[in-house]
Amino acid sequence: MNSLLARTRKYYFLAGLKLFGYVAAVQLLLVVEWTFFGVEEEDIVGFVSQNVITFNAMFMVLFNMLFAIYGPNWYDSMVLSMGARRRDVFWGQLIKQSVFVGLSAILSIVLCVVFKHENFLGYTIVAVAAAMILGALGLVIGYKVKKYGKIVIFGLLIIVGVQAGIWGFVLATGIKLPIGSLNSAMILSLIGAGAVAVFVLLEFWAYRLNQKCMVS
Amino acid sequence: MGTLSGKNIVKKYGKDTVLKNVNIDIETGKIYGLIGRNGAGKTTLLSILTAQNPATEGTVTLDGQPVWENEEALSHICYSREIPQVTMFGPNTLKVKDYLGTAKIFYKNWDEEYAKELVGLFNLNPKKKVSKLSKGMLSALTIIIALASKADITILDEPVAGLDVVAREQFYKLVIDEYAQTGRTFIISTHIIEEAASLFEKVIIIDDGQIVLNENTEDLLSRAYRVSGEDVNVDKATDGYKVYHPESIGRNKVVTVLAEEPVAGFGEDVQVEPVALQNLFYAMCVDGRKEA
Repeated sequence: MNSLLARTRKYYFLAGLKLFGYVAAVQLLLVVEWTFFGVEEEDIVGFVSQNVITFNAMFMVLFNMLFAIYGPNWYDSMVLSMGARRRDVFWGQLIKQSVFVGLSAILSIVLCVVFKHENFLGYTIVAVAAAMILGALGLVIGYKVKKYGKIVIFGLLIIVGVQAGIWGFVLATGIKLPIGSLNSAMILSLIGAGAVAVFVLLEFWAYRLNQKCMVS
Repeated sequence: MGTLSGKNIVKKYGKDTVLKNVNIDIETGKIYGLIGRNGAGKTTLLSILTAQNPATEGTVTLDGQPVWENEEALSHICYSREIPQVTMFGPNTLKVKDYLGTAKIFYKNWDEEYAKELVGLFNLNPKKKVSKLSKGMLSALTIIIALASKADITILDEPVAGLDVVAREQFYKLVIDEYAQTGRTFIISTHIIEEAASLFEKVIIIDDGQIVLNENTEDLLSRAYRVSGEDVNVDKATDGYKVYHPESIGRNKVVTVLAEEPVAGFGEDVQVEPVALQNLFYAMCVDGRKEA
């Protein structure tokens, strides 16, 4: 374990495992709660496992972004101050996110297969794609927050608020989006290609920010 | 190990230029003192020399190789930064033992036994959260990281801030012992100059983003004098020398002189005393050089 890259990878790999552990622990508590709520359900195992799959996907997306936002302040400064290179930190962040998202996805897929919820496999795959994209976005936001402070968070809240308003309006008025007229294979291909493109662009942006960020 | 060298370093934060074309050579195997006023650019300079932060202009090399993103160069350097008390990020989210565990991952030559010994010496509780440590304990933690890293070039920024006198003396002794045993290079930035002065083989004075001095401490002090007497006599005796911080009390005057070479005498009409490093620094930085 002499190479700096290997040591940095180990650090971020362990960080990813730790974050997955925290989220898994929260879900275990929820499992206990759902078990109590589901006593009157016909298929309590099915009820609880479906809830775990649904929430696990949501948590995967939500927490991967949150942990990414914290990254530049929480991990990177400290690691850089201990002699890590910026490129190692960049790859380390990717490793951390991949470990967290990967393990969450494995958990969901195993539950889908074991408890016969195969209809949720597609949902899980979309969640994985969303988690990786929002993770990259979270990293960019994290660098901006580190540089400019809380003003970035307020700006983001406004943007998210406006988007939520638009989506709410679309749902309330029943406006059909043009995407509905495309066939499902084309939609999936378009979404897949778009997701990859957005992910690469955001990671590239995060890399550029990583090269300039300050250790504080 | 050869020389850690910074050439033409400029650092700008927006419109503020914090470092103004700094050139510096750090010869390895010496203990350096880096002194300067608050905001003079000490921390910025150290963070650029160790590639923790990018310079706006200029290059930093170790033995001729760039330090930036260079694993080989970085493996020889430890810059143990001050840990701020009031953030909710980084080390402050960890327990002492976890922070030391992180350092163990990143410093190639980390000495675990020595780290444990130092934790005991400074009475640090490994299970305590870093955010719960006092200012002095935070300083002790940065000292432990620096010393146990066993890095060839070890840099400490304000290591004794908040430490009591016993802990400060322990720190000075530890540095001397380490230096005697390993010949590591230490760069220590401090405001408690008088106490640490005997530690410094070389001293670097930075003022307003520029290196004012970088030389052997003994040589420097051997050509620094405090000259006092009647103002006319003082002016006459110090004519042609670099004179700093003249102070007049009635018809008497006191000046600090930094000559090019040791001076045999300033004449019978004035009193001459040696100058301590702290007083020389004060004279040089308080209001700049008045005459030449």
